[in-house]
Amino acid sequence: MAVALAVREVTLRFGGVTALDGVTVEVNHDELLAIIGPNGAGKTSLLNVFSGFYRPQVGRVELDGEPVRSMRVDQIARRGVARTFQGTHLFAGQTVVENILVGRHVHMKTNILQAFCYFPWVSREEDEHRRTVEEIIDFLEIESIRNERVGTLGYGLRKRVDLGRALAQEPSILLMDEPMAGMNSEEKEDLARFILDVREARKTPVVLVEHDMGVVMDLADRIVVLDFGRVIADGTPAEVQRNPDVIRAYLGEAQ
Amino acid sequence: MTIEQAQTLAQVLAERARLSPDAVCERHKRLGVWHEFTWAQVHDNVRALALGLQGLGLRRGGVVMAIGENEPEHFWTEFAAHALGAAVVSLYPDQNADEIAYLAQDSGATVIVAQDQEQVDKALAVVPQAPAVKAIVYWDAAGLWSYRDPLLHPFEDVQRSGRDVHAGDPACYERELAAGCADDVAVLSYTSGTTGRPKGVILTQRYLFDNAARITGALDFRPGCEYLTYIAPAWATEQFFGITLGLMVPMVVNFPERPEQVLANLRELAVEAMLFSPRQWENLASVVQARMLDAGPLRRAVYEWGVAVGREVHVGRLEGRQPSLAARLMYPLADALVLEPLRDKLGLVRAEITLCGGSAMAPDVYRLFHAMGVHLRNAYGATEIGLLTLHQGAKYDLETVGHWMKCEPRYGPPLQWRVSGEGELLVKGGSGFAGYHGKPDKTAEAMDGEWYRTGDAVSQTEAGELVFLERVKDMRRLRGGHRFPPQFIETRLRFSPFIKDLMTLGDEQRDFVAALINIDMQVVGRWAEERKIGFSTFTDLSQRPEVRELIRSEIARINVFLPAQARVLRFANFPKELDPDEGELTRSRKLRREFLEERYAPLIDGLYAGEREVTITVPVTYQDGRKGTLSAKVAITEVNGAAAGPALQPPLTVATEGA
Repeated sequence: MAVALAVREVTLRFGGVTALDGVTVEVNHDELLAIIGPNGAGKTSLLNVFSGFYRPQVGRVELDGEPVRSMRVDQIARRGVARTFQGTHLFAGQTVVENILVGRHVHMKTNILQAFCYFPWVSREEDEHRRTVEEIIDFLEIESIRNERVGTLGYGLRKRVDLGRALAQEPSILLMDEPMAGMNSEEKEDLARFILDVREARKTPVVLVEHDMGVVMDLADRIVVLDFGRVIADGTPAEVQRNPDVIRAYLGEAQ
Repeated sequence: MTIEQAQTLAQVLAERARLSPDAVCERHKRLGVWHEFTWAQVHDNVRALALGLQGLGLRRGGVVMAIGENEPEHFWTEFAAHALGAAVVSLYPDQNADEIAYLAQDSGATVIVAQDQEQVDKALAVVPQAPAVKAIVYWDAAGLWSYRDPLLHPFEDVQRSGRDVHAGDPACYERELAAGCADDVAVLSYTSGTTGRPKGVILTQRYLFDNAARITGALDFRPGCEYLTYIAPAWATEQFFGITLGLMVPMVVNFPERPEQVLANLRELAVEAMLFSPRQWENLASVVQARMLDAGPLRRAVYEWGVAVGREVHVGRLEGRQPSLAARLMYPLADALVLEPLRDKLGLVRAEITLCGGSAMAPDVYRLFHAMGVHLRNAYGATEIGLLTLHQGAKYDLETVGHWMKCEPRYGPPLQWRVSGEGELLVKGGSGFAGYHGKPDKTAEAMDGEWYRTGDAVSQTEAGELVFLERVKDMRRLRGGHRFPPQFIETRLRFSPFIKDLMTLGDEQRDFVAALINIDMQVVGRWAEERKIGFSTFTDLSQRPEVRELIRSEIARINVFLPAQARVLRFANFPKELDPDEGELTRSRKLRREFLEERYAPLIDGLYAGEREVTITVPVTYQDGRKGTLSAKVAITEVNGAAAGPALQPPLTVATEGA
């Protein structure tokens, strides 16, 4: 199975704090990889290294086998790395359609002058982007809130719009930072269904950082466990559940 | 062949495609945009599907089951089945696997055409119990990407193989079409099963043509008019309108994006013809009323004034009164300020033919729409014998179900009717009743010689309009011998925005009428929020003293219209929402009374024993199938308790003896 995205022997320091310490993780195509670990284990840092937002002091990050060291963050995004955030980073005053359209930004070719003149090909491009957005709206079943302002929506729906915005990028890999945090169980079940659908319908690999163990065990094909910036386990949910190091990291040392 | 000579709907479709291939006949909102289909496109799709279904083993006399929302593919499936001489069983999208299994066995369906993953899951669950099912076709692949069952076929694949057949033998479809005749079974329309297991009413092609002609004989449809399809084709009425009249008038049939989008879609379209069930009209009316509850005092006053003027003018004319000069002078202003904007908001600005069918609806709802300038009409009939009466012309009595419709001679003898000794309406004529599928005994029970027994208690006004009172078996008698019409009470109470559903109680063991109320969580919840009344769950909200007082005043308002012995004296609010998944409602959202009476027996006994509070435990089923129980204290409220003196209290001691 080909590797979509990989970090190899990455060490990331903030001053005296070592957030990641010699971490190697590979994300395969068509795989749902979950990253778990106690608070402060370095999960979000790892996600930020994946997206190129943090640059590690040591080690390599590879996107489809190419090193990303030389790429700017926007170039990495253009290569198809999309992410959702802890909480939501949406434009509260804009509608659902407009927010998802923002995700199309990386695919837009028209500049501001052309847009002002509104040439026929600009109009065609607009139609195309809008169509893609509508397909995502259909996929996420949010037709009824299409023209609502995001600020007026409930948290569960906002997370769904956030996912829609990331999908609009037509990602080759999707990074999700704690998508289930703060949701009730019905919202979680809905979102879990959509995450599975993303992988099934779009064959997009997904990297999921998540605290909710039930969700992780149900969804993930493979789990990487971090503790104090190191990988302490890497395997299927069943393997990880039995791993004594994981049990120790979560439940503390037995005397 | 001309349209008039056509014997099946599929033949009409072929003829329409030949006469006006490029005219738009269907419109469906997909991905936020209205997509149009011309006659030629629909014909081509239906032909491809028919030949593809033939490849899946569907033959003349066979049965296809269609389950899903109103979408073009659902209608195409029906036309394709007709082209092959097969019958269609159309299901409500929320029917569960057990119900579907029974219908599949009873009808002998060999192919199920399902909308999406939800329906496919149910269809797959049904297959072990209905081994005759040889194929499941689905038209929306979302979520089905990894399904690998050999029974499953995507809609496009079936159509593709049908197109290949057509390319190899272009006359094949013509031959199938030409073999169709008016006596072909077109639809098995299952009764809703309020009494026992559903029965499949046989609807022939002639029956569909006959009923469409009855409607066009009574109302003026403009060819090419826009129609919104919303009620399920599982219900015979939509078979007459969206399906048959769509072809015969012809109309442009508009399919909403999703059922929950229908009000938004209605506004975008502003269709000219539409048919809703009472529940849906009541919904529209309560949207207006709920919004006006939110409005400030000035707006509310303007609204009330405008509707009052509209009522005086429109309802006055309808009822044959000359509106006052003041009202007539004020009308243009009221229309511009209130009525026209109301019609616009609801998407009724161009509505010319608006109908309500299914069961009785409170005249208040009709009056509200008439006041707005929407000439809402009622239709009455039975699946077995077809549509019988309709509000016709410009003047009709809202308390009635209208004048008798006329049957075109080529479809059968004129409609005739009489009332039996028990007050039951008997009908004969038209294309007649073709029987229940595979149930000759039940068919015989429904007949009295050549007369079809409707089971409805009716009377007639001097103007010749039929009045529907109640189902004969539903007129109820109290212990004192007084009779009361429970449905009459219920439809009028349901018009309250706060009451979603209710069940009236009272029989020969009881001395008075009582009621169980299912409050409307949305409206009551907002009402409570506005008054800063805290609540947690439905159970909590329904039992709040403020909410009980609210419902009490609603019932007291309706009681005024009832004879003294038929008034509701005590009531309780259901501690949970009534749910079809638990068998409390039928799929067409009618109450399952016997089941409810059993399930809530302690509460009902408490109502009649004079209790103030009863603790009940009922089993509940969650959406994902998990089961649990709900235990709640339910308060019982006297309708006259607050306002009236002791003389008006119900005779509680007597009731205890009876119970």
